[in-house]
Formats: sequence, C-alpha cells, structure tokens
Amino acid sequence: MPAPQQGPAVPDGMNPAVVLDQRGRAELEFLAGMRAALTPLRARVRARIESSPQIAAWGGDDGADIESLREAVAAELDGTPEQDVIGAALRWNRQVLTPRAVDAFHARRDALEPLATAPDPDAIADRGDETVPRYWRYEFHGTRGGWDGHEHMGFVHHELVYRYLLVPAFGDIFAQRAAVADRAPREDYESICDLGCGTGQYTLKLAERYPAARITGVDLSMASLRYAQRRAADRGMDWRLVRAPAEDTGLPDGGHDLVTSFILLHEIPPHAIEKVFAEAFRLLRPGGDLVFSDVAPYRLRGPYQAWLDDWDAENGHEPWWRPAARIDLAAVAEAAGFTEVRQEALGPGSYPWVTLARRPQEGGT
Amino acid sequence: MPGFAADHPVYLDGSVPMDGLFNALLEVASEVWVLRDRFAVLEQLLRERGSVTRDDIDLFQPGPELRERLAAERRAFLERVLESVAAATPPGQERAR
Repeated sequence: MPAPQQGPAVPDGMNPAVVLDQRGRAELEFLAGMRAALTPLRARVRARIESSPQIAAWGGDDGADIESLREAVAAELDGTPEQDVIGAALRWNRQVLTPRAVDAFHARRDALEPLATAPDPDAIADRGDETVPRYWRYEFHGTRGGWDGHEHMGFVHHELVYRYLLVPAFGDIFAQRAAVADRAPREDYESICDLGCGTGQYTLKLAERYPAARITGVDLSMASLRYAQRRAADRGMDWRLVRAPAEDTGLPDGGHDLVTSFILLHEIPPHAIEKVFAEAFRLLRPGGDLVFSDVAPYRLRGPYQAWLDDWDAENGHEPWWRPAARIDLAAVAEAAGFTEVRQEALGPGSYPWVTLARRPQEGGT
Repeated sequence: MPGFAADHPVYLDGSVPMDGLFNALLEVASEVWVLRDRFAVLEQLLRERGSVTRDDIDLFQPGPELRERLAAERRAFLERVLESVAAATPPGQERAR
C-alpha cells in the first residue's frame, strides 16, 4: 500500500499524521457540510425571532427568564418549517457522528492505532468505579457509548470529531483555551490541577504557558486520559493523570497553587458544581488561585443567542447547560470560602466566561 | 379485490414518523456524497497519473483547490436537500420546538 499523502494542515494541537481513507474523510466532511448548509435556514429563523418586539425586550428589566423566552420563540416560529428541519438534521447528524468516526478509525486501524496508544496506561491513577457519579452515565453530547464507549474514544473524539466537525463549525477553539490559561493571575505556578481535562486540550495550553509547573489532569474518562497521556508524551511532557470525579479527586490537601477547568461545569449538576468548588478549595494551598471557564450566562447573551443556547442544550444532550447558564458562580465560590472573586468575559457573546478566585491566606486574605 | 392489501397499498402512513424517512434521505445523501467525492478524486488522479489503484484513491488527500471545490459542491447539494424539505412542510402543524 502506498504511503498516504500528507493531508492538509491540521488544526492546532492535532496530529498531522492522522489520515483517513476516502470514505471516512468524505463521510465526516459531509456531516460538517450539513452544519454549514443549515446557514440559510438558521438565518431565516434568526430574522423571524429578531423581528418580534416582545422577544427583543427579553432580558431587560423583567429579567432573563429562559422559560418565557422559549415560549415566546416557539409561538413566533409556529407554522414555519425551518427550525423543525434544522432539528431533524442535527438530530441525525449527532446520532451518526460517533459511529461514523469510529468506523473511519477502524477502516485505517493498523495505521492509526499506533498513533492512538498510550505509552504507559498503568501510570494513570484510578480512583475506582465506586466514586463514579450518576451524571457520568449520561451520553455527553450524544457521544455514542459515552466517552469510554470505545477503547480509543479519546483519539477518535480529539483527532476526528474535533478536526472534522467542531473546528470547522466553531473556529479556533484551542485559542480560547490558551486565552483562559493566560488569564491566571501569576507567572510562577509550581503545581497546576486541570479538572475535567479530557484528552488534554486545555491541559496542553496550561503546560505550554507554565512550563515549570507540575501538571495534574483529572477526568472520569479513562479513554480520554489515555490519549491525554499520549499527547503529552508526543510533546516530551509527563503529566500526572487521575481518573476521578472533579468533586472527589482523592488528591492530597493543599498540593496545588492553581486549580482550573475549561468547560467542565456545564456537564455536571449544580450540587456537583458546588462540590467541585469545595474540592478546588481543598486542593489549593492558602493563597492559591482558582480559574474556571465555562458557558456564558443567559443574562449576558442576546435573546436569539440565549434561545439558541437553550434549544441546543435541550436537543444536543446537554442536560446541565441550562442550570450552568443560570447559576451564580461567584456566589458559589464565596460560599466555598474563596475571596477576591471576579468574573470576566474573554470573547464575543461573553464566552469564554471565566470565574477567578483565591483561597485566602491562613488567618487573613 | 376485497381482502387483498394491494387495494390499499399504504403501510407507513401514521406508523413511521416523518423523521425516520428524513433520516433515510440523509443516509442516501451521505452515500451519494461519498461517491461524488470519490469520483472527484478519481478524475483528478487520472488526470495527474493516467491510471490509479484503489489505494491511490483511498489515501489521496485533496489539495486546497479540490478541497474548496468539494466544500462548495457539498454545501450546494445539502442546501438543495434541506431547503426542499423545508419548502414542502405544510403550515400550521403542531411542532416539537
């Protein structure tokens, strides 16, 4: 078999040696093309929503009640077909995405598996099945079988789903991770913990930004952690990786000077969010920093964007997005004992939305 | 003739949601796309090399020009499929939004 031609330049952080066969490539490009082809339908939906004075007034003095916005938009769209077609198309797209990506992997398994395999999987600490919370059993984003539904799901999701679907749809989402890593207030971190690290997309930005720090990544998905280990090793890095819930890591008290996360909180229920802040407080040394980046609050979005966020959450397997878009994270941080709590929007539409806080010094601030 | 199904050859009406047919349409569209893409690759390779093997086609990675052409064709194709469904939906129906 001839060596595959080098493919096009790959997005930041992806492996350029990953080459699919024609069917795998064309099937995934078809799914990305479908999202792009929904643009005219989406534009008509948006124009209709934004033409309503009642909807335009949402979020003003009456507050940002998402239920009333959803009702107003449903009434406005009643009798028009566009959103129904968008819904059916995205449903099919989500349903077939993971199986298609897994099929594409298997079609070239001999070539891809050596790129996917972790160098030392036994080095990944495992907190054990008894700590796995109920929310983990949900299929996040409709990923068929969940994040551990395939032994190489971390590779499949990062190298195939992100590369072919998510980067074309959302642009350079790794630059957002770099921007959040850069917002941590100090330069000299020695020990950083990334909660919900997945395949290490944000972890890598932390490691690049703070090269002297010891990096720990925590996640519930062993398949993701294995590929995180591989991605670190490919760059000559060595991260401590732990399979555990972010709210119960089993890591020692006060061992970190930065505890951080990127888009973890909207994947877990509010009671777990509160526990994650408490766990972060425990993991930090006095004076240590917390930096959590997550979805934008609905109240900071325009009516169309807030409606779309909530519609997408409902239709895209995101059961905890709505609570996360309404929770007051600053209050949660203060309740957990943090001080110097502040929040910042780093991009358009108030995303990434970053909550920063500090564990006070013993006996003072 | 009474008692024979051929007198009323309707099997799916009401028992299969429209979404099922739409999903099947998209499966076919995906397959059509894979073939169109494969033809485009085949044509380009034949033009460049004169003859090709199956592996040549499978492992070919389109360059910028072909990538852009395929993306534009894919989008036009899908817009036709999706717009035709949107255009055919009767108004005034109760919807799950």
